[in-house]
Amino acid sequence: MLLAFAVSPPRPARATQGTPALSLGRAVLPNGLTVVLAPDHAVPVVGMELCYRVGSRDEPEARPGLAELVPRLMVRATMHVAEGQYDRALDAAGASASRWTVDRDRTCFRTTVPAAAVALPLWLWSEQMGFFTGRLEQRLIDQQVVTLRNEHAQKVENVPLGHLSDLESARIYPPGHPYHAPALPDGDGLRGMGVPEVRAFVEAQYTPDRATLVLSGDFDLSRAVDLVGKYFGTIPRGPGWPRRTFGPPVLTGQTRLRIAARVEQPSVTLVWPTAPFYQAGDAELEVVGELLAGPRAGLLRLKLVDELRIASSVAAHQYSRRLGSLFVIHATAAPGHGPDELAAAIDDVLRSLQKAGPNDYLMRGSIAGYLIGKLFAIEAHAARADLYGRCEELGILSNCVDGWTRSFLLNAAQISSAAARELPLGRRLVIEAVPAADAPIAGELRP
Amino acid sequence: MRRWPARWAPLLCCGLAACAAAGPQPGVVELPVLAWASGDDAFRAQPPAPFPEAAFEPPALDVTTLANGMKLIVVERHAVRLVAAELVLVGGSASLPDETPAALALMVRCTANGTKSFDEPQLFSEMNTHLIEVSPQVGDSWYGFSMRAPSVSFGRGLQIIHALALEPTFPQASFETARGQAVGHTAFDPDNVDLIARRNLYAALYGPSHPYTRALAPRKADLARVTREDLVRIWRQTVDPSVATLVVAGDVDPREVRRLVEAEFGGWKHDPLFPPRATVPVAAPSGPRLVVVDRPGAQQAKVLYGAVSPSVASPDHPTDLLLRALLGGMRSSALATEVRDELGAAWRAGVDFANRPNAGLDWWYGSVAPERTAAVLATLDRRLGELRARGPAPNELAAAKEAVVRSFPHRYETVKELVATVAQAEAFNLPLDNAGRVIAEVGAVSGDEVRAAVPDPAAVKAVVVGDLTVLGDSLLGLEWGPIEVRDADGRLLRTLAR
Repeated sequence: MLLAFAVSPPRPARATQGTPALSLGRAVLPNGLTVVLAPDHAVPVVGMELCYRVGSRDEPEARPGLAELVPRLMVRATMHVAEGQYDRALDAAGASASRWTVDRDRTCFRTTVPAAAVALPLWLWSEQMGFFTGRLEQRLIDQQVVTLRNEHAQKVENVPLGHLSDLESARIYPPGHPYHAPALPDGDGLRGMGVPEVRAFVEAQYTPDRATLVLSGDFDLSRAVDLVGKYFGTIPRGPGWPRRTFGPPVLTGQTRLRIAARVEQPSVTLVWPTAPFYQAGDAELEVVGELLAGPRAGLLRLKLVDELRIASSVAAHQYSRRLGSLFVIHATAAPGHGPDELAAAIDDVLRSLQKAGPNDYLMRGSIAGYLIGKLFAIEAHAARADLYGRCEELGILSNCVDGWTRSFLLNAAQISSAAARELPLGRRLVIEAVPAADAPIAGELRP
Repeated sequence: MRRWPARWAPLLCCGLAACAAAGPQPGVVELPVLAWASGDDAFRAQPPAPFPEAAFEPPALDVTTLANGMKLIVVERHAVRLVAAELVLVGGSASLPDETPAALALMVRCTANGTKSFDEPQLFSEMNTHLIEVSPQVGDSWYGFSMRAPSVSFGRGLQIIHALALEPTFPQASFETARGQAVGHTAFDPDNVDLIARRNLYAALYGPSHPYTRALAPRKADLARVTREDLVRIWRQTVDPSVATLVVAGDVDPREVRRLVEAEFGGWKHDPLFPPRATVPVAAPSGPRLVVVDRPGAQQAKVLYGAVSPSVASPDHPTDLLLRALLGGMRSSALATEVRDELGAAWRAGVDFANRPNAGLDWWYGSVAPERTAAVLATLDRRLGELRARGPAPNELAAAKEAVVRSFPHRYETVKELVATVAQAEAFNLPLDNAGRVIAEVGAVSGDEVRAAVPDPAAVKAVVVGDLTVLGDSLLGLEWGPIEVRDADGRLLRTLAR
């Protein structure tokens, strides 16, 4: 029996003659699930995404890795989806790029399916949201803890300087901060993890009021609305568990660390705590990243690699996060050169940028590099679904493209000012990495 | 509210379909949503039936040939105000037996250092002002230039491709800088486990001096020897309209594209003395089944397990597509499930491949827990043996066919993917209706045909990059014969035997 009302198809947004009529639909179900629907019939595929506002920051401190464990279990079996059927069903439907991700703030399931299979992920994901915990088994938990260990070994322990990122988080975010612990734990914290503990965490956190569902692509809007109501409408709202929060970290001086790793060349990494995701300074620093190391500007590359020839590679990037971002510069030395020399040359470039902004040529190059990556990517429905989901979470869905490309309005003075304010040379973390045959590949702290 | 500067505004509104329809932004419509009654959950017991499915039709190609022999393929797609293009020049490093792949790679990279029409700053200024992305592509079978831009910038993008391909000046100072950067990047090669594993697998399957093996990644010594004169010579040997195809897809009018292409490339003269493309030698697998590259302290072993596969032009290619799916291309394949969940040996593993106009490669890959590496190799052999003896189960074969056929539309989702798909078919000299043909043929492959296509496990080679002190005994216990221990560059260090 249907609970309620008929659906009248939404009016398309402004349409012009000769172009397809497109609209962006949004709904919030009574249980709190937010839904964004973006029909576009150009290609017979649909990009789909279900993101929970649950990440590693939400797991109990005593259980690092729990947020990583949950999606592994959710794709193994649920009440009506037999063990292994999740993958089999998506494979047989011709789905591509089916994956889940966990970061500090979010857990997302994504796939792109042929248009005829649009209902399949709705069935699978509604099972996870409403019918998962009753199917939990200790055997599956133990099995997936092993895959988590394997993932950690592959992504961290077996990677040159793989521990660098964890070291940055541990030193920048203070103990107690939700980002202090490693982003991808090694699984040791899950020893003895049982069904009741997983169940309690999932039932408190992975609930419709903490989730956003996005469909972008070739689907019928009215039919999609029906399907969303059918599969997700009866799942109960969650208990409203508060999220752990913390102010952005602040450094009072410069900290220097030295790590040894079984690598070929020395390197230096400079890290600053910076403006949180989508707050003042965040967009400026994304452009600064392009300006310093992007392919169309690359001040550091020009100076360290091409002119001085003291580095073989340079990278600079703003890692935007809700509770405080990181700006990271990493340079690997050319043979015969070392971390001190690299750091001094980087500081020269930064001083110059902080004193006077980039010229018009470099400014235009860095903004073009930043925008091209964002705008061209969202031709693909998976990327577009991701964009709409993020805009919805930020409350800027009706102004999504403007919001997402806000860096375009920046000028050289703002870039220079942000570099001076957010990247002070005296308040940062400096990590020198040196090759050592007796050190682990991933690196370890040395005096 | 602040707005984008007027001269950029039309360009910015290019990636989003909603922009294409209505200018700056779509409106957001609040939707009412139906909710089913609680407790009425019987429908959840079964997966939803798929909606009626129209047979997928690959995009229609508008094909013309210029008087100089250059081919032009245009695909119209007006949903977004984007255009993608790729200039394909058939004949990559494999067709230059007397040149090093390092020289070709540097030559293509250095085309952006300056041309007769644009110096380097002008080139980047054009690309930045008009949001044009141009990337050089270098391979062993072809090379070229791909471009993506707002459709209003197509003409300028075409001028840039023309300049890079036909007018490079290779300024000496810029060449030396680029060579220095390329040499510098090889410093990471000893830490690049994937590259080390692939170099050794290619050497085992194609032969160590085969052009495909040599082309895998330019080596430091080869890069350091390249001169500007090498670049000029290679450019002259590889650029001619008789080997060129331009593929264009997006929000364009084919007639206007033909006019612009004729204006840019119509004056390009075919050289009657242009050398024919060299024939690539056949694959010559050699050596023992198992090669190990020692990586002391490695926490996992990188495993590649592969064999020579049929040409993409071969009638056996559709069967090979199914074999890839069955051996781990599908996440749900029996092999993937066994290795990941039952053995607990790897987080992510799968099947990769190298399509080539003659013989390609298929290989299974995984980063494997050291103590389970021998068990994984034994599992791979056993699974291959089962498929060779009995063929796939009917449900497995059906799932593989569905996965392969239904995933075809993804190859055409964006204009960039569409152009890349068509360009690769051109590079391999495949017929224009190749995609439709392959879809039909995959559906007709029988279990017996799959069984017959499975390689004999004895012909399959494996490369393991890991800590030999941890792996050695268990790998010898496989009884695959002697094990060659090679270095990261593929040089034989010693042989292990029971």
